Amino acid sequence: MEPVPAEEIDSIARMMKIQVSDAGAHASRVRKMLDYFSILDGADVEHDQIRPAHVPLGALRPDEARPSPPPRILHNTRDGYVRAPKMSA
Amino acid sequence: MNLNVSAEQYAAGVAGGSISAEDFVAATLERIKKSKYHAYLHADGSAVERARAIDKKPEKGPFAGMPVSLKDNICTSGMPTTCASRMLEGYVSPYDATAVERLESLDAVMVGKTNMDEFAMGITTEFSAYGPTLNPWNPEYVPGGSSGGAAASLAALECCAALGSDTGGSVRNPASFCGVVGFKPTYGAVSRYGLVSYANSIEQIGPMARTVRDAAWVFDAISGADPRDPTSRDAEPALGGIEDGVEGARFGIVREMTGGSDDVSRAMRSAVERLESAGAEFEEISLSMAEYSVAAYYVITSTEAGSNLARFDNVMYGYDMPVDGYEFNAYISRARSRLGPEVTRRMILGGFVPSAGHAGKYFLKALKVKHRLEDEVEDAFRRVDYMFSPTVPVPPFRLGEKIDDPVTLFKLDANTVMANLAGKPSVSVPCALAGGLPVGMQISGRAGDDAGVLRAARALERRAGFPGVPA
Repeated sequence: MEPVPAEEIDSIARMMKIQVSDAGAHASRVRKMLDYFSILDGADVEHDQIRPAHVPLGALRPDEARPSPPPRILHNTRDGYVRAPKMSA
Repeated sequence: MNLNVSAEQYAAGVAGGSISAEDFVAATLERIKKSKYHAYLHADGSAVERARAIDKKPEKGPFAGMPVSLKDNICTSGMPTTCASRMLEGYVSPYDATAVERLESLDAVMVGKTNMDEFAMGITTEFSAYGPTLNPWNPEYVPGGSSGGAAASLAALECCAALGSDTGGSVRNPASFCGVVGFKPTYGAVSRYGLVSYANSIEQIGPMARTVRDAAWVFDAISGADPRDPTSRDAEPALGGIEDGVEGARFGIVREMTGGSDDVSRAMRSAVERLESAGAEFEEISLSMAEYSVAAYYVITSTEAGSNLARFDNVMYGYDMPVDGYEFNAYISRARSRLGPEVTRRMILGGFVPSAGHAGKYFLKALKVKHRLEDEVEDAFRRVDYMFSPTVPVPPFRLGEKIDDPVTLFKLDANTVMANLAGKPSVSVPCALAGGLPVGMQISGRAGDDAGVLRAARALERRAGFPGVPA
């Protein structure tokens, strides 16, 4: 199996908005994990079907409005609103 | 004060007037304060006041002020919930987990939050952002994980019962390493409301205790359907028939789970003989998918973690980092730099294995293995009542010994992940000592037969002759 390039791992990290300080060390360890996952190639399940899990609608509680949690849980609040970073610099 | 009592002995002591909840909780908190094992991330001094109030109640609930520890990924409105991560430093949940509500409604007292691998990703508690927990049997050794703080809190007499969470063995593994009982219930038997999600399709809150009876008692208290968790369902009570034994019960020794160290293999043979002397019958069974189960487990859990941990963008949950001056993506990336190295790696994996071009090789294949394993396990349970194996293939090892070898750590989950992937109840029972360190045996059962699994565990406990935790 071809090793997964460090650039691809770095690209995935950027897409997931994860700041990686030591990309080389992470890539090496992630590659070891991926190499191990290749054991799955030996499982004879190619023609098996995936069975999605279903939760019946009746198992869900009624959709009803409930009071919001108190704002003390939020650091970035002002005048009762959540403050988020700007979408563009 | 003697803190080396079971939960049942504690409750009987309060009922009989020989134990005051206030004194017992105060002594427990003092022991936590002086402890060298770092089982707790947070101890709650106000627990003494709650115990005092319970002492004054004319009609006490059955737990009567009993001190309970909570893994730090179980939400509490009165204490921080950090998942042992700098990302959630200082975070206090606005609500209590259902399992916590149920215990408190029966007058249990939550004394603190226990250490864990960050976001439950690990099996040694060395991946906690706040430093490792030490094994009370020998502080140079790991306590197991990820609920290592919970197991150590019991072994160090720093509570009477504990709640952990088990995604691939995280209750059973540390229970085995610390010489206590750890029970992973049937998927859905205990509400996950208030459990910080890691891999929610397979994880469960599970009770830990110094005796099987105590674990069953706590299970009965926290189990049952909860409208706030649609995957939850009612469960049969476990404590009532727990002494009924295993006469005529059929156990399957899973061939693929018997390749442990010599010490562990010896402990398993001894446990089998003891259960046979109680009337159990053993045969060998095989699960061909067991060989692939650890890889499938890590692919599935990484994928779910990549999705579940995306919520930690520091806007709704997280620490105090002002948003001013940041562009949206840069802010989130910067905030997430507080995630520890193992969590970072698992999130990268979680982005990689289900991605276009790789899903067929990893994620979809892992799901197929999971389904085939479920079928094999169902087939096996038509022949036998329980599956039997060592909980972990090796005894506890030294701190730092395996932390740099991710695949070796993965493989230590070989015996535990089956119960999670297949949604079955499974328990670890302390059975032997190897080099002065505990070795646990694992019993798994059919979905919904939590009571049967605990009954078998009690039969083993009665005959194992385990010396109990170091006082």
